[in-house]
Order: sequence, then C-alpha cells, then structure tokens
Amino acid sequence: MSTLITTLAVIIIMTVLGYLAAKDEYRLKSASVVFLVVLLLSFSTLSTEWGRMTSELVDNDEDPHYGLPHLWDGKQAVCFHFPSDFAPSGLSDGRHHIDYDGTDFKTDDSWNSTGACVGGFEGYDIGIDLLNAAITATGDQFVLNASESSFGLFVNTIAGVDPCDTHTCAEDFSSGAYWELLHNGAYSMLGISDLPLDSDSVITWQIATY
Amino acid sequence: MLFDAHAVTLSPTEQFLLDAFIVSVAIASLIFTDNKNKSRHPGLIFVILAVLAVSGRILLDPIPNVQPVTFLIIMVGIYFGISYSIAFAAIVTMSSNVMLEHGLWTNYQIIAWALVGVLAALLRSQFIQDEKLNVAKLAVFAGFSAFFFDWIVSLSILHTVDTSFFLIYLLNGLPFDLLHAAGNIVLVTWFANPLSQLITRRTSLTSQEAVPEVASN
Repeated sequence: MSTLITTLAVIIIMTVLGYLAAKDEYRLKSASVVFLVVLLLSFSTLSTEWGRMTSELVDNDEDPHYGLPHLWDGKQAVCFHFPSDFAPSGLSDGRHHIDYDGTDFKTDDSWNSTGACVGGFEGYDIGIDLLNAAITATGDQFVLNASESSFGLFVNTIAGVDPCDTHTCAEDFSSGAYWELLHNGAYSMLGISDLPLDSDSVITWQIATY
Repeated sequence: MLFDAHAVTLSPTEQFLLDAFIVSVAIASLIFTDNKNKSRHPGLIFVILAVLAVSGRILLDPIPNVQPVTFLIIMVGIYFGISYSIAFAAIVTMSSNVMLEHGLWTNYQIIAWALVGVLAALLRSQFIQDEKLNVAKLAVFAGFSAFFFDWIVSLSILHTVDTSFFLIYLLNGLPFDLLHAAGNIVLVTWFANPLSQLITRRTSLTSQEAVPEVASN
C-alpha cells in the first residue's frame, strides 16, 4: 500500500515539475510526456501493487483456488495451515496471503484456520520445487524439518511446529498427528518429492490426526 | 487464464459471417456519408490516417495499452463525421488485428472505437472554437475516451464469467486504462494541431465546414 502511494506521489510530482519547468506554450506537452514516461517506468510496480490491493478472494468452493486471491488465478500456491494457538508469530489472526516476492498483501480473518498461503508462482513441475520456492520467498519462515524414509520425504515440523505439540500422540503410535499434504484440496497419494503439479496447483499443508 | 473474448472460439463460418458484416458496415459507412464531405474528396487523407493508425498500432504494440488509434479516431470524428469514424474504426481494427490477433474481441474494439469517434463528432463544437482546436478540452476528452474504450472492450469478459466479477475486473485494469489515457493525452498535445492543419489543408475543409452528419441538417 505504501509503495503504491509513493509511486503515485512520484508520478504526480514529476508531472507537476514537467508542467512548471516548461515555457507557457509547451507546458501541456511537457507535462503529458513526463506523465507518460514516469507512468511507463513505474508501471510494473504500479500494476503489481494495485492488483494486490484490489484483488478479491475466489468464492467458488469447488475451485481449488477457493479462498485465494484472484491475483493468483492460473498460478501456483502453497498454503500452511496451523492450529490457531500454534501459528507462527504474526500469522494468528487469519490466513495471510503472501506474494511470490514475500509481500504479505491480504489477510482473510474469516478463514477457518490460521497461517499463510504463498502464491503467484509459475512453471514448477514437481511439488518439492514449488515448496522450496515458497519457503525461500518468505525468508525461511516456514522452514521444514524433514527426514527421508522408504516412503519418501517425511515432514516432522513446519515453522518449528510439531503436530505432536498440538495433539496428543500415543507412544505406541496407536494415535497421533502428522503434517498432511493436500493437492488442489484433495489428500495427496504421492509425497511432495514426487508430486507432479498443474500450472495452477495449490499445495496445502495442514495437521491431521489418526 | 483468459477471461475475455480471447477465451471464446468461433467456428470458421461464424468468424466469416461476422467479418463480412463488419466489412459491410465499413463500406456502407463510406457510401452513405454526407455529401459535403464527399464533394471535398477527403479520401486521400482518410487513407493516410488509416495507414498511420494501423502502422502506429502495430509499432506501439510492445508498449502496454498506448493506442494511437483512439487519438486518430477522435480526429476523424471531429473532421470527417460520424459515418467516416465508423468506417475508420472498422477498417483500422480489422487491418491491424490481422497482424496482431483477430477474433471475437475485434468486434468489441470496433464498437468501442466507433463510439469514441461518434462522441467526438457530436461534441465537435466543444473542441473547435473560433476556427481553432481547443487542445486542453480535447486532451480531457482523449483521457476520458481511454477509460470509455477500455470499459466497453472489457464487456467481453461477460462471455466467460459472472457479472459480479465485472467490477473487480474493471478495477484491476485501472493502471492499464491510465496508461491508455496518458498516451492519448500525449498524442493530442503534440499532434492534434499539426494533424488538424494537415486535414483541413488536404481536404479543403474549413473547420466550419467539417461537421458531423447529425449537425449538418
């Protein structure tokens, strides 16, 4: 938001300067050219920030992107859902939406879990690559602790949250909790290392019990 | 993901019928124009403007939403009238879209640019005062035309999504509309007067004579 205001302020100030700096008969010409040039130079920032500010959430619950910003339509995203008492610092007031460059631009406080979705990614073919991109984009806020097993990568903690801290896990493994992987809203039968992605895949990590 | 008319595919027959209709409208507009303009032989300058519009549109295509056609159609509306501006919109859009991309959206662009030309023709007395072009008023109108054109073309989104998404779509497109408006204003401030002189000199039309059809009665 502040970036948007700064960009608009720069455009306006430069245009006014362009108007005042010219002779009377050239003022309109000068101001219009300065306006266009500054607008073109700042257009990438302006349109990105504006898109983030005005983006609404997808309200079709049959869409894998349900609850995510329209800004990410056709793009890939990774969601991390935490029990409300265990969400990382600053993420306990709803589901945050963090763009591919790490900008936290929208929070859905009516979503039924807390945490964050990191999205706006394109071109990832395998789940682990998208996951790593999301972790890197957020400055390792959602760093994984995982171990290799015969079934593939087993996630122990995400952002330091161990499922057995949030639910009671029996020592004999008769009951417990684990980080569950969803792909486009459905339980994934493949591990994150082998998961083939669509161009608009949504990966979700959430704690499940057994 | 494409939301607008790019997501709608027409069959070759549908596309042909639509194209034939557009070409018919363009020809009819040139035939049934008012006698005053025809007698002054504005054909040459009209063709030059159309070539400028097509080449300018293709040349500036890499720059997002800077559209020389909008500026030129405003000038055609002012100096040649309603029917010429409809023909201009159809000819220029069809010709340039053959090289850029042609489809259902072409119709929306033609309708939107034709409406801009018609509006310019109707408001002509506001832009030409004492035989002189009021560049400031024209710049304001050109800026407004950018939003008007973009919003008409945005109606194509209704082929594929619900109306509830339309306002969000318009809102998201505002930076692009602003760029279109800025481009129009630059073209008006720099080129409106020279082009005005060129048109009046080449067509032997005085500003007083070059009137839209509806005003000629």
